[in-house]
Amino acid sequence: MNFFRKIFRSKKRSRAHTDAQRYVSDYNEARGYYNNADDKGDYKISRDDAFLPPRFPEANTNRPMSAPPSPIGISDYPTYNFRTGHSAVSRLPDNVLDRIFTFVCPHATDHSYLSAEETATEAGCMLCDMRDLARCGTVNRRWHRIAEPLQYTSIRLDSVHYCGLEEELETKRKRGSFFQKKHEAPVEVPEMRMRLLYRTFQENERIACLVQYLRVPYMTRETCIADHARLVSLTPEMRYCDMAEGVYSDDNTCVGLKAILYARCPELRKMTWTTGSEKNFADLWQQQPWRNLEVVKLDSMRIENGDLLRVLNSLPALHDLTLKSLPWITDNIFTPTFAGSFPALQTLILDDLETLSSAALLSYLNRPIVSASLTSLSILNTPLPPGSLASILLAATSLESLHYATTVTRAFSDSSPEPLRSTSLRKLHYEITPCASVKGLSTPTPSYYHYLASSILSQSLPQLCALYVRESEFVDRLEGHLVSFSVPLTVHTKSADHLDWSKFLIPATSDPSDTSGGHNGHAGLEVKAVWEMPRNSLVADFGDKRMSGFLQAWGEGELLVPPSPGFRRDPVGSRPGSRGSEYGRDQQSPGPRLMLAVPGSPRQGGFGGLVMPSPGFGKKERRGSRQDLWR
Amino acid sequence: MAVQIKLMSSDQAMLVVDKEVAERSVLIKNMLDDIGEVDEAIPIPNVNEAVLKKVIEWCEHHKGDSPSTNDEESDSRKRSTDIEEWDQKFMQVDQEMLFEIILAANYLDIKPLLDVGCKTVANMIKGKSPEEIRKTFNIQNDFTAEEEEQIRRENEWAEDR
Repeated sequence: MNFFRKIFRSKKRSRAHTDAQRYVSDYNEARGYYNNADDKGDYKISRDDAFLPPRFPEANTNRPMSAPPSPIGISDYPTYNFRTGHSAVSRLPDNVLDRIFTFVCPHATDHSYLSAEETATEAGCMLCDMRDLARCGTVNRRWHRIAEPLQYTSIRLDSVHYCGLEEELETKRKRGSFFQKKHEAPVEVPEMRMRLLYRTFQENERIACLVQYLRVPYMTRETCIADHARLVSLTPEMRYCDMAEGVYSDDNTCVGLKAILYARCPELRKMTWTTGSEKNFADLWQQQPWRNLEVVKLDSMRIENGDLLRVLNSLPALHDLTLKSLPWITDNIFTPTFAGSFPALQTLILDDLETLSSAALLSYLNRPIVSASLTSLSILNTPLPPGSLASILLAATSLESLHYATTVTRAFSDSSPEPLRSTSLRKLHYEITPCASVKGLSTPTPSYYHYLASSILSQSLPQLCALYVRESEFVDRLEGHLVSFSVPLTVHTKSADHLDWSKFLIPATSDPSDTSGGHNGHAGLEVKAVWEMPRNSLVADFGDKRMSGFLQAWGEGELLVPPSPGFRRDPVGSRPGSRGSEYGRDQQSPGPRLMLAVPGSPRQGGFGGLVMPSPGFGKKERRGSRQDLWR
Repeated sequence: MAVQIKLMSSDQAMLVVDKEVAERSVLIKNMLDDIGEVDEAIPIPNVNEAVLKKVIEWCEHHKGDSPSTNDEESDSRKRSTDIEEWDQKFMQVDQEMLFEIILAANYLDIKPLLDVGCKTVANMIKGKSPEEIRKTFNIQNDFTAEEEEQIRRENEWAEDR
């Protein structure tokens, strides 16, 4: 009996096996993956796809050999014979090759839910990086296997090259093509790229399933809505994609796109609702197209407390919420009701909420689950007074970042206020500006900054390392006092009529890299701020007293050329075909530094522009600003 | 005097280095944390003497560096291919040696050195056509003509236009 059972089972298994094989070979033939019969048998399950074989199976000879067991049993480091004729690069393990590719195209690892404009960097030309990564995937089968997921997971389409190449391409485009008809408007480049990408997705379903992030420039996503809709209809794994504004407000032009996002992109993680989409938002708790939503933004909507709570509680993964200009929302939103209680979040932004009171917010923050999870809180333009910040910080025990901005008409009233106290706070935006409509005898803001400075000097914010204030002389309040800082504090200041932040560094007492003075080893250090030059500033911003000192030293004549990012010299070792990075240089020299404006020195972002550019420099100048969205 | 430890390369050469320098390698650091004080040489079975010396040279120059933070790692926007000047000179070696250093850094788990190596290779790749990349690294093209054409067609969206 057992014997028969065995036979039956083995037959069953072999039939299942042949079915799977047949399926695979049919699939491959249909897709044209294999070109000779020998390849058919040689397939293995690849790491990113449990069902389909790799498109281009690598020959066995190319695979790294497995290593003999190591005597200390630590790693399976491959050992090789150097003279086998293999290239040296083939000895690199997959993880190292993958790492190399992430340096070829750094933005391919950008897994943030931010738009193309927000994630733009000064480091290199992103179109060049993308092209180079695509070319890596064409080198051989192994490189293709590693580069392909990287190339398609996070896609970014830029409108122009931010390097010298754009000029050449522009001339080429102007010359036109023989096939181009005179009466037809030429197709914009990003639009063309979108169409080609659609063709790739259409022809290769597997690639389409890799896409999780898609960033397109503003003008393209606003004008090519149909192309965009076609593209996202093929990408079931999409987590974030830039969308036309109309999608958020349920505009008629974007109905198709939104319907496709509903039906085809169940994995979306970020969504915004604005005026006009109230009905759609309120219905969300009944039909849930995007169950894994993590980031939700609500802007200028007339929505009731109950509806909001119902929807928020139907999203289990939600951790980042923005509530902006919601006139119907009242304090009761933070009180638990039959519709549920306000969910615990990591990031909460409350912007322009007219009725928000500190008692309501405190009742929310006092819930243990909330105080343990909330790490970032923004309170912008609300009636919440600055005096309530102390109790908020006391309640939110895990808070690392607090952004507070408001306008004031009267001076700080509390005579002996509780200082701001938090052991977890690392970043504080404290932006208090005078109300423009009310004219008083004196400006009320200094009293508020005095309160902040006394809090800092009382050392009740030990972890604070970044501070943003709207008072340009704020550092003077800290200078000269004998206090010790456990972490270096960077103070960013900006007065009302400035566009850029000025940066001052106050080194930590125990900071070994501190070379600015001979105070090392003392318990209390006299606070000395070191001013750092802002980058990419315009001359108009140099209204600061210290700044003007610098400028006068250089004489008026040299200010004819305004500093612009394009006139910066490429640093040594920057990538060929792309511009150098500022971040890299920042990290290489930590600690305080006072910059001297030496003409032609490549370190000076702002003052590099004071030097007349050499004739060759014109080529490196960027064509148009990155903020120029209308290109 | 600084505590010194001995390392044994794959070709049985003995190298004496400061413990602080050797601990740039996470592998060695973890090993020393586990076994405590050792008198015998620690075998590094996959790295030969020439490469190990080179790696130690790098570790000695960078022994005072602050450990990199995780934010830097996670924030792709802060990644750049700029290389410090000293590191650039350090990496001016033949390809064989370059890849040996990368492999050793990977094995010994010295992340900053691995990154310098990877950036150097990435800079060698940048701006080149596939054929030029193959020529630079002596890589054999194992695609058939049809496959190559298929990938070229798929990648057309990323090409310059």
